[in-house]
Amino acid sequence: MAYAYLFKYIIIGDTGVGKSCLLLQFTDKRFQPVHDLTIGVEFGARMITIDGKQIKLQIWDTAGQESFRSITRSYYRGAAGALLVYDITRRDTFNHLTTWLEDARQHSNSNMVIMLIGNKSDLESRREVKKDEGEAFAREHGLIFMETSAKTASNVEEAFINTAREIYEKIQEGVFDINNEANGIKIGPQHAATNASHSGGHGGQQAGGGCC
Amino acid sequence: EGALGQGTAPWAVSSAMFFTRGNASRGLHLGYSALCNQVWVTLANHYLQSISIDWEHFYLHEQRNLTEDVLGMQIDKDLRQSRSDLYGGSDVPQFHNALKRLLLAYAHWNGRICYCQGFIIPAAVILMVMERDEGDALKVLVYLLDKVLPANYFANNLSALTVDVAIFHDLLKIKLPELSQHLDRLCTAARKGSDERCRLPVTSVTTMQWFLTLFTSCFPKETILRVWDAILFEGSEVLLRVALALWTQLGEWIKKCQSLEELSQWLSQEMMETKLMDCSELMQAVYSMATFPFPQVVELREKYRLLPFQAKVAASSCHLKETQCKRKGSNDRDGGCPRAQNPQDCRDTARNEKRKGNCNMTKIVQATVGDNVLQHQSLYSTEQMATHPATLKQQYSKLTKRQQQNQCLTPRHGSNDSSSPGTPLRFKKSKVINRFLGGKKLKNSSKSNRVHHTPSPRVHHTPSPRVHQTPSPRTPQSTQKEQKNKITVPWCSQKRVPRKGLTRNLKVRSGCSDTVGLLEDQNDGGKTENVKVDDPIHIVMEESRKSSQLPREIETNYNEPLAIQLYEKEVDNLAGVGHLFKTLQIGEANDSLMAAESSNKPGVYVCSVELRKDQFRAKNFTAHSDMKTNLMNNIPLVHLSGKSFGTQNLALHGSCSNIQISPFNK
Repeated sequence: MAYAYLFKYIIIGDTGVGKSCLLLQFTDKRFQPVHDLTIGVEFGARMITIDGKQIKLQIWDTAGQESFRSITRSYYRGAAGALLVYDITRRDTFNHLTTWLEDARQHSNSNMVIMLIGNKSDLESRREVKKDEGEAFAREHGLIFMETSAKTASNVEEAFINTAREIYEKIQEGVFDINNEANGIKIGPQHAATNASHSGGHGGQQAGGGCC
Repeated sequence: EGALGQGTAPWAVSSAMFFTRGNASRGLHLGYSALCNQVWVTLANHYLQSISIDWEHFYLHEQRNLTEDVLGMQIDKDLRQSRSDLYGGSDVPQFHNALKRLLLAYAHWNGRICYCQGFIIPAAVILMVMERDEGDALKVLVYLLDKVLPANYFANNLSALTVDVAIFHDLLKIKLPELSQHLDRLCTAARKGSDERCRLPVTSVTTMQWFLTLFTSCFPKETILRVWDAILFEGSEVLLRVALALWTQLGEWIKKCQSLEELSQWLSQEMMETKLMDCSELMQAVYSMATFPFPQVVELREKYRLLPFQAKVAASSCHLKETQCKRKGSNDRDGGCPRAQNPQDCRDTARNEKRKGNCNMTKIVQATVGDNVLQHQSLYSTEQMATHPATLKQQYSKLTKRQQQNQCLTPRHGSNDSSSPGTPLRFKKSKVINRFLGGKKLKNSSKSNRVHHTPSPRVHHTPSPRVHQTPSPRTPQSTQKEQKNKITVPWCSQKRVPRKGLTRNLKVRSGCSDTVGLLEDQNDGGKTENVKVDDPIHIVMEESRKSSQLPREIETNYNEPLAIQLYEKEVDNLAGVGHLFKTLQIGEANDSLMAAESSNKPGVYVCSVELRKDQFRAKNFTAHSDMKTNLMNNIPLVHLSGKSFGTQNLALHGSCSNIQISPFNK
């Protein structure tokens, strides 16, 4: 399927915070209460539309266990966006955010858009981390913040799409070098053709080339 | 059937029978599991015997100390999320409990690897095959993780696993060039990026998944059993073989994919649901694709072994070891003493050692991608080479002084028959040896102190007083006490096994540790850098398989950094180490100069043993060569927290007392 851009995402966070469930909810629109453990790395993809443009999100879902940290690190750099997930019902997952963030900042390109996600917002009764705290953390570190529930699908779409929008805006601003794939952005293979054939072609300001 | 019975192990007969039977009774796999049960346990027992572990003691007594803790909760949680219940039969909760105990027991046994989500399913498979006999299951799990898989496969940032993935990537290029090219074409765009590190080939992602789960993620039960049989028999190279067979199979479909995205999608979704391959076909492919050991794998492992990470020479790659042995062995024989070595050789090898030392994950990842690795290394190595000899010199002179202060040593006479079977271990000697530890200051004592006070709960379980034997300053008296205590440790390697192989082993070990110490020392950061040396246990196990035992020992013992120091030093000092080498059967005892020197300096040998040990400490050797080495030395060390690596230094004391010093007779 033709797309204007491909954005590469990475989902990180402690084990058991719901990374894979978020991905499943986003890609398949379903919730699996007992999701298989992620061993190593898995990936999913979905097409979204921003500004009338087809954007493909290629999402790399990583294992949260410490042992796999070295493997996941190697995926940071190729990502345009990162979803940093914690579990609002487990304080320790929130406490580990700093480590994750350091890791991500250290191994990613500097423009990577990071979205902080407090997952499991449906479990209000078991909440251990206040929404304010998440917001404060995000503000402090310059992240976008959102509370989601992979179970009820609340805010899941938004989380992924807002991140994509941020990236898209950065592209428009020229912050991202879209021809450098190390940024996790790729111009769609048929982008030029799409633009030409579509009657309401959305601005041909993107440089061509760079596709496979 | 021609592909069967490749194993040259003592159990080759049963192996051949095994596979034949498996092939013949396709579909009749009812009895297969039972066969696996017996054979796997036999293999595991063989291994445990070879490392002279008082298993019963560990299993019966140590297990009691297991408590519910954070790890237990984590395992509980993971078990619920895993598909382990597939192997649990009817009563899943009980199975999960058993599985949890098994995983905890392993974590307790090997604190360095501890627990990784990757081996839940493997453990479940083992438990199933062992018909829930947790004791046997633990043995097999220990055998699999400690012995069969390369060291650091599941530890030290999964470095060995990452290396294997990189090796596989290369192997694919060699064995399936067409497919590899097709994949490369798909990845071309991805490779345009300026930063190579982010380009983990999609094949590697999939292969890594297979390796991490030991193929439990992509095969049905019966295939898993067959594959594992092969792994347990033939060694870890089977992992690569199976992966290659799978990619060969997948190749047909992959060639239809026109873009990387399509491929990714296909790999992630379709593949896991498709029945990948007929079990017997797969095994046929695995056994017929190459001779054992797989020549290219051997080569590639050699190649990566020289890269900054310590690629692990798999249990199966004896060929590799042999090649090295021959090379180094001949060097040794030519000169009879390290000094006679070409200095350039020494430096070159030292540089290689340096490279190994520069182990950090970034580079490993680069290597996984397979780009520009060598350039990076050469940069690093030249930088550090500048200081290397100087540092060594300095330390050596310090140590020499200490040697001179300690001339009241046991005189040396007698022959080199240190390997004579049945010679008892002489702990009294260690008293002398440990004199050298008196007043020894560490360069980085803070490190050892930290180790000393490690608040690891596991330390308390440890029945051995060795926990306190950090290489910190000590008085000879306290050392003696500790030595005594050591002997009373009920279940560690103090068991006196008069087996020829084992006694050799003990000697081999000190040689290993030495190199490791120097390597580790060069690692940046206090991270958990573990370096694997050729497993001495494996050497013992291989004795029956290979007649050329001696060259391998030479290989294991040979110590380049030491050789460099020797090169820089005077003859009399050389003599001492020369004796050590001789005693350890490294060099030939035909150097008349050395012989003459030795008669004048009777105690030098002991000095040199100590010298080697001192070096570790002086250089802040955060050490431990390998789990397996430690196991042999001192089991309780295993229980130390994975983070307190310094404590494993203590193993040196163990080896100190365990080394055979038979040439010394009062």
